[in-house]
Order: sequence, then structure tokens, then C-alpha cells
Amino acid sequence: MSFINYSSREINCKIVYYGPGLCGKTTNLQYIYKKTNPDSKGKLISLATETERTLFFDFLPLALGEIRGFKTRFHLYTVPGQVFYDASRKLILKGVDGVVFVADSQIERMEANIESIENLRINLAEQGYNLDNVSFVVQYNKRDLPNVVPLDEMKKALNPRGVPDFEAVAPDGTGVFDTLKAVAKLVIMELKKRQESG
Amino acid sequence: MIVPCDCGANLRLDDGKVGDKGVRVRCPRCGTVLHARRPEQTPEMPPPLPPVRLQASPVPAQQPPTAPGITVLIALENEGARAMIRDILFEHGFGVEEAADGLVALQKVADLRPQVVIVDVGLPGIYGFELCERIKEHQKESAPKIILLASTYDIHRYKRGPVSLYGADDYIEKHQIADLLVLKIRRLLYGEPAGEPSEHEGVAPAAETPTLQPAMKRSEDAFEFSPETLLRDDIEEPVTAPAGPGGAAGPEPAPSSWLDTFIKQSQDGPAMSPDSFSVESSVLHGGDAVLSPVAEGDPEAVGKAKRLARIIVSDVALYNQDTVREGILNGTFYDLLRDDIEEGRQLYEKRVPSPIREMRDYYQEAFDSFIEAQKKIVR
Repeated sequence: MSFINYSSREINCKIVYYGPGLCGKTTNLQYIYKKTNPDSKGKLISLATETERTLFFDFLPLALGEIRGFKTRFHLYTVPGQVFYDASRKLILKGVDGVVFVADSQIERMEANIESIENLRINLAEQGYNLDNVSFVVQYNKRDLPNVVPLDEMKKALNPRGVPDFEAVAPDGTGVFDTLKAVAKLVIMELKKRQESG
Repeated sequence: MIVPCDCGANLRLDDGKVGDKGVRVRCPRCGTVLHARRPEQTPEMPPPLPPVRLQASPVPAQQPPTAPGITVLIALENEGARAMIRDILFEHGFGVEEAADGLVALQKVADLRPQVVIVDVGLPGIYGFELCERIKEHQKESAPKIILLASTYDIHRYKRGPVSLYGADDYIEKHQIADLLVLKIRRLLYGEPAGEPSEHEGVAPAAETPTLQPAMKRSEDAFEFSPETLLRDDIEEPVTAPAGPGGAAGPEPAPSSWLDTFIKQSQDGPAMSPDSFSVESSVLHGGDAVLSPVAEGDPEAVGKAKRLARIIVSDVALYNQDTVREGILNGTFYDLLRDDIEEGRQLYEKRVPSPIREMRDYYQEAFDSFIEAQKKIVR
């Protein structure tokens, strides 16, 4: 859940980009970083490797401005995508407000997509979240490649609930901000809903 | 045993660590490598005689200045890792202070003025990279040297350093501590001989700008996105502050607003609190791969085992594309990728119950199938 620092008058929301290895999570954050006004962004923390592996996470704070005098920030994280790094993913999911599932559209990665989204559901459940209830959007990335799965099939496999979803080509920015705006909208509306119900 | 150095320092060594062939130690003050050993002994001539210095390495091109006692602050949550570093530093004659979180570390930096701070990236309280920036910002020229401690999942995998050190002076990976930490400290304090190669190819120490954007002009036109629009665009009800007498940053919010109520309810929310994110348990200790297992009684258990095997193969191949190609062409696939394949097998065996694994080796079959397919492509 969002972290409110009353003394410094800050609201921090945590959005995690989840998905299989090399699906484009870091590329999403890099594009956001590249195209964001310097006054509104923090440093992109990115520990990667020569083979583009995420070391343990990427981190990008975005300042959204003020809500009634409270500085509001979205903290964007990625997880290491490879099937091996499950404990790291669990840690990074702690306190999450919104999740972007970045799917790799290549046909040979469909099993990895399915595994990853199941893994997301399990890891969220272990922390008391239900994937069906969290602020969640899906991005079908790498749509510019020749070997992509048809969109309908991807939707059927990865988005049966029909959450907001977007086609994307993260390196050139296609769909990147649509995805971010969609999850941001859900997170902010969730804050409101929680207040109204509480 | 005490080993004297030409610079005037006396190095204290544990006798038990000085074997028959002696031991090589590096003076923390000047960096000279000393080869110390016990004097030859006979039954008639019992110890202890003072140790003798037999050999010193060539004097560095630039003799570093001498320095008074050096204090190193270790800012690291994990107690075991701190102890390991502490022992190494003690062994080399450094004074050591410790902090388990960023707040304590910041206070100790202010109070104790250590010459060197080792900061873990995932430090709780204040993240390591934030701590670096705060120390450098507040103390400027008098700031201590900072070595950022990152962690690796596998020492063979990560060859490129971080794109930014966030104000730190150097960077070290956990597996390098025993070999390189003291050298790095010495280098930061006394300078390094010209031309000495960096251990981290590609690392730009203390680079403040991530490498992903060097070609980007910092002009207004280059930035197309203002995060403020996330609050204003596409949201059914804008939640920006109403323009009251006090403006957006005015007096305390009215308690009746949904946001204020939410804030009051959420003050202790864990999203970004220090305990919400610690990489210690997984990255430093390698405790990954705790995925849900394939259930033995599951009618789809075989299918799931096969799928897991294929996913592992796919991951291994995806992250090693050049190596895969080389291995296919030269028939050295299993040799070149031995570590990855073994790592994958451990995960496979952890998740797939033995009765399923004993039916057939689906993991091996997945690799065989992959190689056959790749042969057609590569050739």
C-alpha cells in the first residue's frame, strides 16, 4: 500500500513492472526516464549486466506534483525476470500499489509469459494480495517482431479478466506511456476507493 | 607477530595464519606487499623470535603518503557480512565502525568522521544510493570516500557494473571483498599508480548520469512527458488540490477529504518503508528459486514438468545467445553452458517431485530438443 510520510508531506506509490526475462521491463523504464522532464524524475537506478540482465531491480522515482500539499511520487520498479530469481521478485513486490505485466509477444516466450503471470499471482497471494483486485495492466511488448503471437491469443492467455492492456514496442516508446498512465489511473482511483470504503 | 614496514607501520599478524612458507600481506598504509614468515626453528632453539621481513614488492611508482589510523564505516544490514568485512579490515590494521541501517550510518558519518564508508546498495532506512548522495552533499570536500557494495546473484554472470554510482567513489561486488576491498580503500585514500586497470570494465565511477542517455540533449524538446499529467489526464476525478486561500501547499488538509482520511489511515503503510525492501535475504544469500512445485498427484504434473524444463531452457538460451550459437556450431554447447544448465537443473529438481523426474528426464530432453532445433537454424 502507499506510504505516506506525514512529516515530509509525501505520498509514495509503488508500481512494479513484472514479466519474464528480457521482455522489456527495463526498456520501459529507460524510455520513461529518457522522455521525462528532468525536474520531475529522480535518477534511474539500474543495475544491469552485459547481457541486459537486471541485477536485482531498476528503480525510477517520478514526481507527480502535489495533492493538497502532499508531494506525490510514483516509484517504478522492475523485477529480475528469469525463472531463477523468485525470491527477489517476492521482495520487490512488497508494498506494491500497481503492477504492469510486460509480456513478450514472441511465440517462443509464451510459456515464459504464462509461467511469469502465474508466478505473479502466487507471489502476490503470499503477501495477501489478489491479482484480481490489485491495480493491474498488461502490456504486450515487442509487437514489431515478425514472430509475435496474435493479439487475441495473448489476451486469452494473459488477460482473461480484461484489465487495461496495450500493445507496445518499448524501445521506440510505443505503448509505454499509455501503459503507465493506465496503471497510474488505477492506483489513484484505488486510493480514493479505499478511503470511501474505509 | 609484528611485521615492520618501511613506511613505519607495524602490521600485526595472527601467528596461526603464517604457515611454513610464510604469508604475503599488504601494508594498509603504503600498499607495499610484504612477505613475512617465521624464522627457521630447530628443536634446540625454541620460538619466539621476531619475524623477519624477507621481501618487499617493487615500490609503487608513486609512493603514497603516510596517514594516521584509518577508520572505515561498514553500512550493511546483514550482520554476518559485516563481520566478514570487519575481520578483513581488522586484519589489515583499519579501525572499524558499523551501522546496520542508513540512519545510523548517516549519524556515524557525522559523529565519527570515518575516512571510508562501505555502503550496501540495499541498505534499509536510507537506501544505499541515497546515503551516498546525502553524505557527499552535506560534507562535500570533507566527505569520506565511499565504496558502494552491490550484490551479485552469480559471480560469473555480472560483468558490467552499475551505470551510476550515485556519488560513491568506487564500487565492489560481494564476492570481490576478500580480494579487492583493501586494495580499493588504499587506492581511494592514496591514489593508484597510473594505468592500473579497473576491475569493472565499463564502470564509470561516480558517473552521475546513467549511460542510457548520453546522446540525449538536455533540451526542453527532448522531454515529452510530464508526470504531473498522470494526475490530470484520464483520471475521472482530478485529485489536485483545490485552490483555497492557502493554495496547494497551504495549511493542514481538511480532515473531511478522502485523501486526508486515507493519509491518516496509512501513515504506517509499508510500501516504501525500510523494512519493505531489503535485498539481503535473496541477493546476498542466494535464496532464490522458491517457486511453487509441481504437485506429484497433479494429473498435469508431467506436462508442467515439461513446460518448466522448456522455460528454463528458453531462459538459458535467451540470456546466452552468442554462447548458444558458438556451442551449436562447435559441438561444445554443454561445456560452454555447464553452469547455467546445472543451475537450471537444480531449479527443476527443486520444483518437480522425484517420481515425475524418475519417469523420464524431461529436463535433458528439453535441452536435446532445443539443440536439435537450433542446429537447423544455425547451420
